[in-house]
Amino acid sequence: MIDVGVVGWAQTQHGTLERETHQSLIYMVVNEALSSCGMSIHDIDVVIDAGSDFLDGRGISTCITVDSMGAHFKEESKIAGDGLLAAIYAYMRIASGLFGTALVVAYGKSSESSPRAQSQSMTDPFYLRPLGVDATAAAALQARAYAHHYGVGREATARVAVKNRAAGALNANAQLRSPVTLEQVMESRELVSPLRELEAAPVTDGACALVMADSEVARGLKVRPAWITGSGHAMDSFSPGSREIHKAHSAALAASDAYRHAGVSEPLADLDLLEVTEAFAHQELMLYEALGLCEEGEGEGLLMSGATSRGGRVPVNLSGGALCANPVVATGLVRLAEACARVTDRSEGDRIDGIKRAMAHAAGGLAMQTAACMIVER
Amino acid sequence: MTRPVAVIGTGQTEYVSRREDKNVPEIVREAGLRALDDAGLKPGDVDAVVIGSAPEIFEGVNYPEDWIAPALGLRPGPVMRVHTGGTVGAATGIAGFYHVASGMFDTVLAVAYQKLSDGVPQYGLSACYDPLWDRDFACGAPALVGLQSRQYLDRHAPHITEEHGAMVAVKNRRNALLNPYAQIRREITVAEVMSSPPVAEPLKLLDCCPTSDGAAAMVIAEERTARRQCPRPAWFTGVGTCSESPYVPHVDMAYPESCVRAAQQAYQMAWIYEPSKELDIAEVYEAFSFQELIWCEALGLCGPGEGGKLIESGRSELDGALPVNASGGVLSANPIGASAMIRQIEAAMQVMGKAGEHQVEGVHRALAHSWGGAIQFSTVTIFSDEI
Repeated sequence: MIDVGVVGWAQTQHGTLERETHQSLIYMVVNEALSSCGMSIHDIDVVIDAGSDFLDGRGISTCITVDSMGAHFKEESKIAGDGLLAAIYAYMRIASGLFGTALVVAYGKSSESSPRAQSQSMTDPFYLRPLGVDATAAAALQARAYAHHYGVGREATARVAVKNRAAGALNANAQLRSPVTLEQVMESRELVSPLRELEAAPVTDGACALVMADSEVARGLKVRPAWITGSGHAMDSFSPGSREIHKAHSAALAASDAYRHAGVSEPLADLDLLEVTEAFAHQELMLYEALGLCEEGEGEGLLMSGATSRGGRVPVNLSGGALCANPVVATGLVRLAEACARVTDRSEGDRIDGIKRAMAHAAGGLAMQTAACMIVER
Repeated sequence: MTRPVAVIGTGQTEYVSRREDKNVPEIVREAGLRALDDAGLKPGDVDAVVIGSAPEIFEGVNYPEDWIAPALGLRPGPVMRVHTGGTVGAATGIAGFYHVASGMFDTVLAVAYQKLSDGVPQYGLSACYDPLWDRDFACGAPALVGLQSRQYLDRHAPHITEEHGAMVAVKNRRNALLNPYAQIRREITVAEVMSSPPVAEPLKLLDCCPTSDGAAAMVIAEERTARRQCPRPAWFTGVGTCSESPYVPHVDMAYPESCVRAAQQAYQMAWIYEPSKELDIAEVYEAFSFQELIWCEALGLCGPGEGGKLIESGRSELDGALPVNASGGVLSANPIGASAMIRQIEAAMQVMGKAGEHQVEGVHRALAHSWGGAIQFSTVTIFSDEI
């Protein structure tokens, strides 16, 4: 098997980026990712990208992004879904032995769209669409089912938001960079019961790009690569009613493949950091369980123990996670960029020692129907 | 040397203008189960699914894979959707190839579909244009390919004429009579094409593909499974894709460089030096008649400007030396997201000896081509009976 490393990465400073176009966001991160590893666009063999037609208000949104991605006259393919899935495809391309380097690009500009309409349109036209279910409503049903099933208190989910907002305050790329108190979260406006505003990800514009290389190329560069040692992706049933919605089953499946590849048997001991996509606070607790950091129903206990906080046994979302910036489509790829920066000790500013192996997670679909995971190591 | 990968089973739905008895997940399931059946496998044997469709605006469901893939009836597992416009069916097959070639998966089900009757196709295609600069024209696909065809005719006048396009339409509709899945199965004449109503100059109605509902699927596997399940697998021996800037005035539409480059890459991988001699059959994505000639030139199946001579010579006929679109091509059915995979399927079926009435004798090497976007994405896949 060919060893593949992530050698360069970049993300935008996320927020409402009114002065930028889709293309300018892409151009910015592609250039920065390349220069972060001392490569030029001419060194790239294949470009794999992720975008969303519905979010962009376009058909075949790559039609207009080929130039800005630097993919003119290159091998290029687009994935629908999170950029982390594009990263998995790029990894396959290099692992096949036919490509030495790959550029992965993901972008989303939700401020130009209606996030509500974008997620309502994910429902099927026959059963769910007439009900007007959107991402927030589906997540609210899930939060209720999860709390009910395991007796999780309201305070626990609010504490996820407190933890991640505190972390986001140290992340220069985050959109929300102010810590919040438990009271502020508990008293924030109710979106869809039981979800509150500060327990939900903001509407974010942003982009992320990554450069991957096989070991031969990676070792010739002047930077420390983050080696990819495992990946997995999975999709659960479509209808929320036909799933065990209180469990992140797709994440468990994706992680089990990634763990098998990377030889991880005890995630809490074997991983040093996780970056997960928690578009809603309760989802982080569910992911602790699905990703095997604790037993089913014990997410609350793990959070309260401090194990997933900064300085804990396995910090989760040191970047602040999706609750501090959620550039839809790029969110999962940003998780990977954060994980790479930590394991290689190439983080800007805020540094934490001893992070050797980290996993990034991306979620998709209503109430986390789909998941992708990738493990990177020093 | 990369890991050997083959197509070991294919499945298609009958292509029709409006499929009323089944919804999108149901037609995808129909094609997927046919492909598994053809490969002698069960849903439980599949390690991963790759799914492809052109703009989801066609059916109006965002992230349609979340809705459609579970209907295949597989246990929850890896699903990835590829989305590259017109080339997507082929890009999906190619993604399936990389799933297996990477060593990450052994058996992959690749499916592609479109149900154009669920929406307004030219509205969906017009949404591809930039909202600030191009969209006011809302010209859909025929107007763009009208420009392409005109550029091609003008460049090679008087050696290429409108009758040459009509001859392609006649040939492919005749071939479609032998393809049970084709939508348009009617013998036509050059005179009928020439007198059919204008659509976008120089394209006339019979120069154009129909809009179709349908799905296509392939089972893609590594060597051991392939040899066990399939007497004559169609091995992927050449794969090439290329993307080009969308700025139309930059694109040489009469000899698209993305197509030339994708072909070069695939030929290099498959050790093909003289494509017109070494290939036994080609399936190209001719949504409009003139495109078959343009692609044949860019793929090196004839010289530049020799497309007219090619169709006149009979070489690309079903009984010619290098049959092109023995299936009837896109002119006979165009479920857009599936059409490029149908080209791969038809090429693979010819290698596998499973093409039925339109089977060509002695096919060892077959080419499948596709284009997409504003004539800016190209894919070329070569299948062979030997690794």
